[in-house]
Amino acid sequence: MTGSAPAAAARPSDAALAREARLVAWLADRGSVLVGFSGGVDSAYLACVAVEALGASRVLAVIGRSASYPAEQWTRAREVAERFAVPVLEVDTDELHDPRYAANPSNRCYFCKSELWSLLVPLARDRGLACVVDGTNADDLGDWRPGAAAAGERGVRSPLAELGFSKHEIRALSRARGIPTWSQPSSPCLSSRIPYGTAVTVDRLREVEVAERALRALGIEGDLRVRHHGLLARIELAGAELERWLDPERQRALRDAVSGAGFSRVALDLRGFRSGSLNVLGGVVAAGAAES
Amino acid sequence: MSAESGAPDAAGLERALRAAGVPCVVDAFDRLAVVVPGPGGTALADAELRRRALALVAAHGFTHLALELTEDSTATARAPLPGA
Repeated sequence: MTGSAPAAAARPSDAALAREARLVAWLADRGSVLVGFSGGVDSAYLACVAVEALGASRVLAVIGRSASYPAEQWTRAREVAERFAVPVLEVDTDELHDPRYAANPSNRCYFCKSELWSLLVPLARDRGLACVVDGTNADDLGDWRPGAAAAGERGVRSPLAELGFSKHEIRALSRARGIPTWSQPSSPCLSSRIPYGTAVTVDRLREVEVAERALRALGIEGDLRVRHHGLLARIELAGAELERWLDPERQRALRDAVSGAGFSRVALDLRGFRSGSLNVLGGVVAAGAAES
Repeated sequence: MSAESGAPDAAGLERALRAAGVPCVVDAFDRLAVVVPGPGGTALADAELRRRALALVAAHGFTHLALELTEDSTATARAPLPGA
């Protein structure tokens, strides 16, 4: 599994440390970078290493904010930036007003990333930053990621993927550096909770965000998704949490938490969390492909 | 079962689950099967029965199985799912 936080990250292997040295050299060769910064595991690590390699004056981490970006993640991104002296700029992105995005086709991410990079690439040029980079890692390359095409079209580089970093290595290296995101579950944008073909709206995104926040308030840890099926919310929990919350005595708390976000029906997925679950439901990838 | 043609078969899945000891109604939304448990329907908390249910779900053309968390574990007066 590439997205789940390990119970305890191992110390970085010699191979991972060597890869990190190559990353430092790669960044030094560029001279300066603009980092697409979500505050997730990968971009947080990349931004911190970039500051170490280049100095803060040659790095700008940019957060693209919109209704699909969870507020909790913004908070974490700001915390990491402050702690590691990463210069941050926030820009508002407007992908929800792009009808090609809002219609939620299976290549929705392409339109989101097109919006993001169309803002950030000129920004880097204006600021005199030599290269725009994102946090895509090598494990991501096997997933359904239409957004990667938008990055490639605009010359955005993905050094973690190019140098072969796995998610596991990034977590271990982040932990060794004291970056708090090392154990953070993967956190794709909120639109990923809405099945393809169902329009992405601010209201639906808010319902998902409120429901997930309420579930976290119950103490649920690890990977968690609330998938939006109209009136019904489908909760995906990682293995141990699924077993815990299948207890009939606990189910009422789950239902109450999620129904409070505006759903009239609440269901618990019996297979549990699957990264890319809606890719399977939408027929974008074969059943089983999203079970890693 | 209509799963032979790849189309989800909610009625067939419902019959199979009942035969396996899971009193329920099945609502289908695309390839998501939502099991609405019958009275006292806590059977799917059992791991072995859940494994069997997941196998039945795949055999009936679904990719996802979810247990509806109901107020009273009865299968009445459910709001319809879009596309159901």
